[in-house]
Amino acid sequence: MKSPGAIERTLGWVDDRTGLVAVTEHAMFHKVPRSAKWWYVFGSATLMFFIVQLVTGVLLTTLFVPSAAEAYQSLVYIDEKIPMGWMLRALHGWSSNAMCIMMLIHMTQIFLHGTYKFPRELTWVAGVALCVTTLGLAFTGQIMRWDANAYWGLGIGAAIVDRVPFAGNWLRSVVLGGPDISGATLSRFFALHVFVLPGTAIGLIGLHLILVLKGGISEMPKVGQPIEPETYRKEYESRVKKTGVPFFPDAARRDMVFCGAALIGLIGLAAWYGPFGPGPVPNPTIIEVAPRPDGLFLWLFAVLALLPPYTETFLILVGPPVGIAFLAALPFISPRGERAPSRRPISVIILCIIVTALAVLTWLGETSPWSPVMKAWTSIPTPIEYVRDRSPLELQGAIQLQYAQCRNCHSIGGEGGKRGPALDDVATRLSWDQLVRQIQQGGGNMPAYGKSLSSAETEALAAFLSTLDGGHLPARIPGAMEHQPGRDQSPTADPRAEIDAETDANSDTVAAR
Amino acid sequence: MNRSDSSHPHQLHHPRASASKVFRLLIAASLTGGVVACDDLPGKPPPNPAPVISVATTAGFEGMWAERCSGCHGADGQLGAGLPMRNAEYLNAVPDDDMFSMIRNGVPSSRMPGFGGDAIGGVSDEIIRDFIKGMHLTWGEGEASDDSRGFPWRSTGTGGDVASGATVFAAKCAACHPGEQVAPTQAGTMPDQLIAGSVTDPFYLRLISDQHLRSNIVFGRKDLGMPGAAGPFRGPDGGEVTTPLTATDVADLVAFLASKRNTWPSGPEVEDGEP
Repeated sequence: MKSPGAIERTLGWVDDRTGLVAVTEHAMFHKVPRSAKWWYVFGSATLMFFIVQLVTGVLLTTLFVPSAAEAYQSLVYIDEKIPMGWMLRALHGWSSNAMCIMMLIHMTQIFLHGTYKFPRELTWVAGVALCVTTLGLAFTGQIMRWDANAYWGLGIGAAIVDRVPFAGNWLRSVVLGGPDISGATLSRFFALHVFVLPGTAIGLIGLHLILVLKGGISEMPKVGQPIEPETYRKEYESRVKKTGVPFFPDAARRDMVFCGAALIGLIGLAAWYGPFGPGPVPNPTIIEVAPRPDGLFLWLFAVLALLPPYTETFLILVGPPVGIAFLAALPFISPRGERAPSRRPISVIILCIIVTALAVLTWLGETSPWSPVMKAWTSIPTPIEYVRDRSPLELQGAIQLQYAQCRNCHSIGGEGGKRGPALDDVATRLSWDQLVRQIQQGGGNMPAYGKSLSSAETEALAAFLSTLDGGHLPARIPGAMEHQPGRDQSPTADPRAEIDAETDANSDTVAAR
Repeated sequence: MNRSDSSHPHQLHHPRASASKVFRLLIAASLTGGVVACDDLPGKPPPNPAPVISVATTAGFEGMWAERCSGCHGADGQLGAGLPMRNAEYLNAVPDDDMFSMIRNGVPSSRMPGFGGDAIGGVSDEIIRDFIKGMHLTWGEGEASDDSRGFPWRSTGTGGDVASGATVFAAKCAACHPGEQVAPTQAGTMPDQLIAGSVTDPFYLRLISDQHLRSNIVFGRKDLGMPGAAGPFRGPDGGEVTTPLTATDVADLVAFLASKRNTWPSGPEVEDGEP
């Protein structure tokens, strides 16, 4: 239908009126350093996931009902009634996580390679702003689920805001749209999630990309090639002119391959693991829930749980702004000098510390060992190996261990709470007297059970605990693993010791019986 | 497929048109198939809210058992610290109303808490009745034996005789449950002998009601190798004793054990009640 001439004429007309064709051509075919290889794909992948977010987000907006009474049901409706609706939600959720992870990897790479230095300071600052916006999108997106996690997550957010000196109360009503979490809260967060934050992100991405084009894609850092603002531009331009390759297709090829693989991975994750939530229906009258943020905020969850109470307000309110300000100020603190990681040991160490801290905190947030497992006492059986070959009194002790809810905080056989130490080898660590004292008087963050357990119950519990020797480990303190003083009821000093060898040798027979 | 087959004769004259039609049909079929198949992918969320499965069914019963009972009574109803419920004879011997009362209100003389009524997170009476049905359905059939000799769950007669109980204990129990009644050399002589520990320990007895003792003696703890009233038992010489317990033996044994309860250090802590 159209001859090449017509296309050219049309493009010429558009370019004449807008100048866009020239800009696009420049963006596509500008020269980039030859050394820009696979390290450079993460920014594009972040952008690709953002586009997936936009597309799936717009589609979800046509189905989601942002009203407190109907939001939850509308998610269930999308999951169950709309053909492949669950897939849409799954793609949106997984792509959100993928975008954040790609963004963090991208930032890490930029930091590691010192790319934020002259003349790309503002590209970095725009990137930091994008990072904050993206985290905001992730948090507000979690609220859209309007389930118990969203409800309590908002509660925690409101409690944080409430701690701001003087303006706390007022700020909380601004955030929540009233004194409490209500329909107005959801409306506010919906507006943030679908208008304000995406709009901001699009603007910042545009700025970021313009700045990338303006500053040029950085080269791989080279030892002995430090940034000297006085001469850098000239040298960079001459190097790129000499050895550079056009962005399209040479560099863009890698971006496309990586983005394609990432997209396939995203679809795989969405298809296999499905959408996130919604969890239980929000119900402020049920406090027996264990609210937990999405993976990205687990580290923050852990920090909030672990901070000593007297430092909380200060660190919560001062920490994040200072951290973000420091990130944004980085290129102005260190605008010049070596870019190679091998010449920037302090930066590398700082990065390692941050990555390790975030990983450990995320793991802690995931396992939340500080929280008791409230249903452990009825739902986690005593391991069978701790039931077999126990005396009747010891079995009664095992029942006390369940009934007194010891396992809500202490694990045996790897199951139970992690708040207190695991009890599998407690007999090697505590003597009989210490066991009884610990049960009766508590201590070390453990409540005293002296008043709630009778002497026989305490005796039974201690008798059971004194059998937990971690699979015949030796005593680790003097007095541990010795026979319980003063209550030699059996004819042998310790009947168990005598039969242990036989029992082990005949464990199959015993089990069969 | 049928459509493309039926249209086949016409398309013989137009091979290119035929190919394109088949191609289009194939695309449409694979798209439809894809969407249908995709809706069956592992990521598809389960119905929300999850459909309620009655605890009167095995699946429903097992779910509630795992959540509320397995902690003490074992993951599959046995080998837990507490009495095994995976014992058809026990389940059939305990009247449903008694089982209902024990589950709903707990057993005051033991560490069995109530799971109904005013208990925190307690369930309705109707669910408890269904739960008992589910328990019978899951464990009450197919595993029946005669280990309890058909003795009733609860004692129907008057108290037993302590002295006779001591004789029965020495003859049939003491080999596995050594205490002051048995000389050391008589324990542990058989290669497969399990010494289960003292049942005359006053601390143990103060945590166990007479009814609980009776349940243990009559129904045994097969999961841990302890026989019920039918035996066989291990005699003082380590040999097998096949004579079963009589109803009187059971009552005497309970009386004998109960007599050991408050010997040391002082005072009863157990009121008699249901197991």
